[in-house]
Amino acid sequence: MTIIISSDDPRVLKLFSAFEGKKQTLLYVKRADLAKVAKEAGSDLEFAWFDIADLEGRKLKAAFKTLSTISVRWGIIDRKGIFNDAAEAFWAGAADYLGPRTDASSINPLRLKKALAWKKAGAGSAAQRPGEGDMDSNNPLPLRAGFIDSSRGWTSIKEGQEYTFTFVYIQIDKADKLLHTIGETRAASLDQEFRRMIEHSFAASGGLVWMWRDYGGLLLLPFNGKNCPVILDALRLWINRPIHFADNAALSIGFTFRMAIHIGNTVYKRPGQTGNLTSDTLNSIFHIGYKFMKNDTFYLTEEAAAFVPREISDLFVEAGSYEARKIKRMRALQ
Amino acid sequence: MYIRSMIINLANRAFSESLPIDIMVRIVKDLLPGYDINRQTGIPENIPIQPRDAAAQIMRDITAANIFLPIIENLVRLHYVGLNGRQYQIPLIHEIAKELSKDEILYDKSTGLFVESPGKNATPNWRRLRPGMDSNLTLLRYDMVSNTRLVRSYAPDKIKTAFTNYRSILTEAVTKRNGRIWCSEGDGGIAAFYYGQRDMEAALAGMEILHNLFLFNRLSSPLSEPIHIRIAIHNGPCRWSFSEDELQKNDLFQRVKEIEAKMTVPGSITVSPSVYDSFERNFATHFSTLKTEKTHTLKTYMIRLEDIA
Repeated sequence: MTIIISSDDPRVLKLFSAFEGKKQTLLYVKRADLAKVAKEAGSDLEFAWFDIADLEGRKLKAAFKTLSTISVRWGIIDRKGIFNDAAEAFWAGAADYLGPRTDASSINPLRLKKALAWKKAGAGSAAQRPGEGDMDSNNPLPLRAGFIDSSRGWTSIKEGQEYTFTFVYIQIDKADKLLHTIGETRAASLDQEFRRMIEHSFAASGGLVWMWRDYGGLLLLPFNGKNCPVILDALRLWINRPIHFADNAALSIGFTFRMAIHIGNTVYKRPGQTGNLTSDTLNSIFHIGYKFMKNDTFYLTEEAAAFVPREISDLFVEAGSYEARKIKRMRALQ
Repeated sequence: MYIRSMIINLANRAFSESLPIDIMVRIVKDLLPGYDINRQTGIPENIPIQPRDAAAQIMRDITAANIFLPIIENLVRLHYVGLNGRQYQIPLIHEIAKELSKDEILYDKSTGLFVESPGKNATPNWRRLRPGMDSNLTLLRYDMVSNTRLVRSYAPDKIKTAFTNYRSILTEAVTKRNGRIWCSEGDGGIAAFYYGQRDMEAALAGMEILHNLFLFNRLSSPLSEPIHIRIAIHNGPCRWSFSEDELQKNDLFQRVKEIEAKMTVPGSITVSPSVYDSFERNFATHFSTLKTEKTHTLKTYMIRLEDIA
């Protein structure tokens, strides 16, 4: 994992000597290049420390604006004590503050761990609805690209612009074999009724069937950066599979499906207009679905898993990593 | 069962304007064997009965016998399928169905039955079962585990919230499948299923109750421990009565209670062999043999999470 130290003074690197030989790679970056380098680092970037030496007023505001666009948590290096009160750094969105009195010996991987775990106060307050609460307060916003709110509803989503969405990948297992077993007419009916069941299951969360082909597809759902009720919708669907299948003759033929939830960014295109769309997020979710998932499983990428309400967190277990992304799966229902 | 006079008048007209008397009588005889229109009207056989008089008499008799809806179902079959290869056009049949729907009695094409919808005017006997009449039913017996201890262990407001949610989970699962909750004893009771694939409907209602309780216990319950329920499902003949005490005398009640109390593990559904045998093949795979029971004929279902220890 990469940590960016962004400063115009290379001597600040001495502060981070405790990271030498550790699993993190330190990357020294001039302040003006921070946004560009952070974007290039992509999903490998873990954290960034930014030196605010000699920045004040509008320049400081501009620096914070730049910092708000990077995809990971960040901390402030303030060796000159520009902030009289360290809290100002946290109010500005920082997750760590290295002030004039911060001893270099305390800047180490343990501190990084704490900074990554830090979250803005107020989030995840007691007012949240049970089970639909904000992300676990021990986790930072886990996105690999900057968060772009899509939660204002489909009418405000503009085509051609990038947003952060929740993605639900769904696919009937062994669909090609199934087609031979049940024949084209029943297979067409299965495809239609399966899609209807999926649409119905995610309708309350604003689910949009974005892509659909050959007994499966990808749903797009608005994401507010705070919680992910889609996980509960998916859990209900998963547990109630026997009921859904028994209630619909077209689905009661004995089949399984796989489902994965991911949160990430993509440029929005209308359903049917997505043919030329290229996106890291899309590649990731499809790769996980095609290459990593097993039959009859429900997976969460680490981005989605961070939003699992703690009341149901024991239902999900580690399932390994794929393309440098940790994956969880729901415990099998036997 | 109360049927509005307007609907009876429509049926009267449908009979008298569309059917010869022998067909009218034949329809009634299906449900009232030995029905004799001459005896009922008091008109000797050697005097012809006017269709209008015959229809009026039939209406009086079928409403008294509480078989109005089955007769109308026969009328629908006559209209769409015919009898002995002959089709009978009954123009008023749609009017009758429309008027019945205003009283929340809807025609179900899949079963060919008029079904009382589970709305606010739902009756415990679906306006179908008559006192003393034996009908094949499926009963779902449910009971909350350790409810007395729960009541003593938690503050009243928490118990009230938890139990209200529990009851709404039960009621919703049963009524959406057109079941009726017949007897409530504390936090246990019996739900009955009469229409369609009633064994499947009861099993699906039971599953839904278990699933929703599973989610409620984890996500919304104000109690620090889960609410568990035992569910048993059994089918067979049952004699309807408006008296709960009389209903409880049915063997079916005794057996389903016994399966629930003696053979069902908390958090599970146990189904009798006759219920299990009616399940569709794929659905049946979700049930396993109850090994604690000597004959190994009962089947059980519960949410079993993979062990990760």
